[in-house]
Order: sequence, then C-alpha cells, then structure tokens
Amino acid sequence: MGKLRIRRKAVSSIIGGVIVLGLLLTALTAMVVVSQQFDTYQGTSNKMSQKDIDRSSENVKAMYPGLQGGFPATGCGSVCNQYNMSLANIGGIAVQISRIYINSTQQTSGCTIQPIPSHSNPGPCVFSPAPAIASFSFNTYDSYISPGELNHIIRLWLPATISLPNATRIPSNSIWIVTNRGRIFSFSWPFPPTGEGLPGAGVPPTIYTGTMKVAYGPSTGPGGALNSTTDSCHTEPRLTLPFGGGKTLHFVNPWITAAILSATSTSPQTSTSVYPCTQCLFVYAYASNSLSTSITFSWGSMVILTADSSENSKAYFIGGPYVGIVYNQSGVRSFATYGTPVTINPGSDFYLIFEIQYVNVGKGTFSGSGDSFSGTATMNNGYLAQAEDATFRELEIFLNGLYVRPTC
Amino acid sequence: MKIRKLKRNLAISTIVANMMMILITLSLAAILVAWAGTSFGAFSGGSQLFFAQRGQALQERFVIEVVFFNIGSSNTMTIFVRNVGVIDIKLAAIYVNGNPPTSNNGTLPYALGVQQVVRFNMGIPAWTTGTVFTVVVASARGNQAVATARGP
Repeated sequence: MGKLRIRRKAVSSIIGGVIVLGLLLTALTAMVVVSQQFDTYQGTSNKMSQKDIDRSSENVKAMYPGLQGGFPATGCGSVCNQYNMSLANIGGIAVQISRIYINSTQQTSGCTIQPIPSHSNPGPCVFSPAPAIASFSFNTYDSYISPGELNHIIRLWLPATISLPNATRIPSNSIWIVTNRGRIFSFSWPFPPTGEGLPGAGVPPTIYTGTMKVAYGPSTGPGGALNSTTDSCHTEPRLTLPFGGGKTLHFVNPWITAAILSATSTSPQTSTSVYPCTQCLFVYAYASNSLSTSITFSWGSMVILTADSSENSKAYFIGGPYVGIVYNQSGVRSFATYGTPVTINPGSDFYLIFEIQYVNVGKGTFSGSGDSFSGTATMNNGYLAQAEDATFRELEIFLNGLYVRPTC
Repeated sequence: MKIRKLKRNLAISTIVANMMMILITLSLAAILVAWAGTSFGAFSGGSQLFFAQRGQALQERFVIEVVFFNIGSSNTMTIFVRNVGVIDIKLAAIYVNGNPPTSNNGTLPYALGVQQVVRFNMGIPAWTTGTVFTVVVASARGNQAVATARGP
C-alpha cells in the first residue's frame, strides 16, 4: 500500500513536470525565435542608421568659378561641348555624384533637347555619369570626390548644339548636385553677390574671394580713418605700404589689404602719381594665376563694401562697381587707362588694386550730400564718416576669371 | 471470500480511477501544450512578419531630386525620384498639394531599382510665380518623400 502511494506521487510529479517542461519549451522556443527576428531587425536598423549618418556627413560646395567652359571636348571634336564644374568636398566622407541638374526650376533656353524621349518642353540639363564622353553626361571617374578635396573638376558634356545659358543670366542658373546617398546640394551660377545695394542687373561673371570684416578707429576727417593706429577687429601686423609713399598698410585678412592714399602718392618705380583720385579707398588683393592658361582680367568686376557709422540710425550701405587697376609685384601698373583689360600669364602673381571710385549709397543720411552720392562721387573716408566713427562691416570682392589665394 | 471479492473490486476501481485521472490529466496537458504551441507559434509568426516588413520598410530610401516647372506649359511639373536605399521599391502614389496629379506619364505602381531614377511628368493646377507646391511620393511600404517647390 505504501509503495502504491509512493508510485502515485511519482506519476503525478512526472506528469506535472512533463506538462510544465512542455509549456516552458514551447514558450522558450517562441522567445528565441522572436529574439532572433528582433536581432535581425535591429541589425538592419543599425545599418540604415549608419547610412543616415554617412549621408548627413556629406557636404559638397561649389568653388569658383563654379562652371566654365563650353569648349569642344577632347576626343569628341566638335560633337560635344565640355564644361568644367569646380566642387569641393568639405564633409567628412567621400562623395559620389549621381546626377547633376542645371537650371532645375525654370529656363527659357538651353537644354530643350533632353535625353529622355517624348518630352519636348524645355527642361533642365540632366547629366548622368558615363565612363566615356557622351552627351548629357559627366565623367564617372570625376564623380568620386575624396573628403577634403578642393577644386575638384567634374567634366560635363553636352551636344555641340546645346550651350548652357550664359553666365550673366539673370536670375542666376540653378545647379543641383545629387549624391548617391540622396543628398542634394545646389548653388547658383554665377555666384550671386550678397548684401544690399547691389547692381540690379548685368552682374558680370565673377569670382567670390570671401568676406573681409574690418573696423577702423574714429575718423578725424578725410583720410584719417585708415591712419588710425587702432583696429578693433584685427591684429594683423602693419607694413609699409609699397606704393603709398610711406602710408600705413593694413592687412585686414591674409590676402586683402586696404589703405587710403592721397593724390600725391607716387610709385617708387616710376616716380609719378599713379592714383588719379583724391584720397580714395584702395583695396589690395594678392592674386595668383594658378591655371595653365593666361587670364584676361576684365574691367567690370565688382566690389561690395558695407559700412555703417557709430549711430545705428545712420547705417550706411555702400556698394557698387569698382575701377580696377592691376599691378604686378614690382608696383608697375600693367595698363595705363581704366577699362583696359590686362592679361596675367600662368604662374604670375599680381597685386590687384581696386579703387572704389564709383559709389552708390543704399541708405543712410549724409549731411551735405543727401541720401546718396552721385554715380561718380568719390568715396573717401571723409564722405563716409562725416566726422563720425565709421566701421566697415563687410567687404566682398568679385573678380573676373581669377583665383585668389592667401599669401600666408 | 466475500471480503476478498470486495477488496478486489475496490482495488480495481482505484486503478481504473487512477488511470482515468491520468488520462484526463494527460489529455488536458496535451490540449494545453497544443494551445500554447499554437499561441506562441502565432505570436512568433506575427512578429516575424512584423519585423520583416518593418525591416524592409526601414531599408527604403528614396528622394525627390528635383522639381521642375515646365515653362512650356503652366500646368505641368516634372519630378525626378531616385531610389537611394538598399532594396528595390515600388512607388505607389504621388500627391501634389494633397491631390493626385491630373495626369502622369508614369504608370503607378512603379518598380524602382536601387540607384535608379525615374522621371514623372505630371499635370497639376496651373502654377504662377510664387505658387507653392508640396509633392509627396509614397511607396508601397508606406514611406514618403516630400519636396516643396515654389513656382519660379
């Protein structure tokens, strides 16, 4: 009887244990399966997150001149027009360009013939990568841009019958660059000037050399501001002005200098007066022709100068075209009269001296002069300051066909 | 003899009762295990489907590269859509300002391979300068690419 009792207990325990074990195994199997699926999903999620991080790390920027060319492509004869696009990869990851669109919002001319059939309306110029020269394409090998690579050239090919809209097109041409990770970068060509008081039309082909910010001390009258020994924004050393008869030269950023000169300034080389206006503001830029061909520096580029006074209510904006004079390193002017282009040979370095002579005033009050200067008024420090503290806020220089590099 | 018979009968009843209890228990256990297996199986199967679909949707990436207003016609718009994900996608619908385009040169749904690009030339309400259009492209897996463009 006792054995039977014992056996009964054993049977129940075994049955109960088997049931529980079966339930546990079933649940465990399901949990393992679900865990594996979630792991797979999590792995996919991590992989795509990494791709998103890679995508957000891309950063492509257009460099001057942005786009140039329209010349027959090598190996293509008269069949293709080739354009070179200058890009810089300033992101932290290599970039592959998948497609380029030009004039992607609207255009009235240009790529009316599209590589896609049955579409007769004017459309954007669509460029896809191709291993060899082909219409509506760009070189596949050019599409890879390493991180930190500057001035990367991408060769674009169009049929000879199609030319891209003129560089002076107003409004600017829109260029969209699409990467294989899906980022879209765009820029306008030619690079639009920024700020107020810009010429409304006819902006010439330009180069953007960067922004200069400089502040000067209190003005004591015409010619006084730049002679001040205080400079609240910059600590660059002063040097003796090479062409200014002992005037002080301000290095306001590594490659642009500014000074006010008097009419009596003479060239140390020619001993003649080289500055035709009285106490004009001159802006010096050190430029180098790093291209393989000569560059003709055309008259008609632009300087935009923003300035204001110490009184906010009299904030001035001054901008307008400039008259450019090109000097070589010896201080000899390369052309005698305004408006005459000068050719700079490859490898030559020049000082570009811009004389801001023609001034337009966007806003502000000038005692004795009304709200604006006349188109031919000379902008000198006296006009600008009117016995007030004058602060140059921003100077932007647009050069035609030149690559300006820092000298230090 | 009578007592011995009675005892034997009692013993048989006890055994039968025990066996019946064991059978009932085992049957219930089998039903329970089967139910649990079915339930957990359905759970794991559902989760597998869920994670598989979510994983595929997660791998989709597509962008509207550019929106182009056709100057030749004030009521047409062209968009370029690129698959920048890691799996093929199927574009299911396009909406312009919340409405389907009045016409479309592309047939939807449209299968788009990895790194492929497709161009849709669509009929839209007449645009004027400054008119804002929001274009939404939706995939069959429920993802969307949105682009906003302003009439030039």
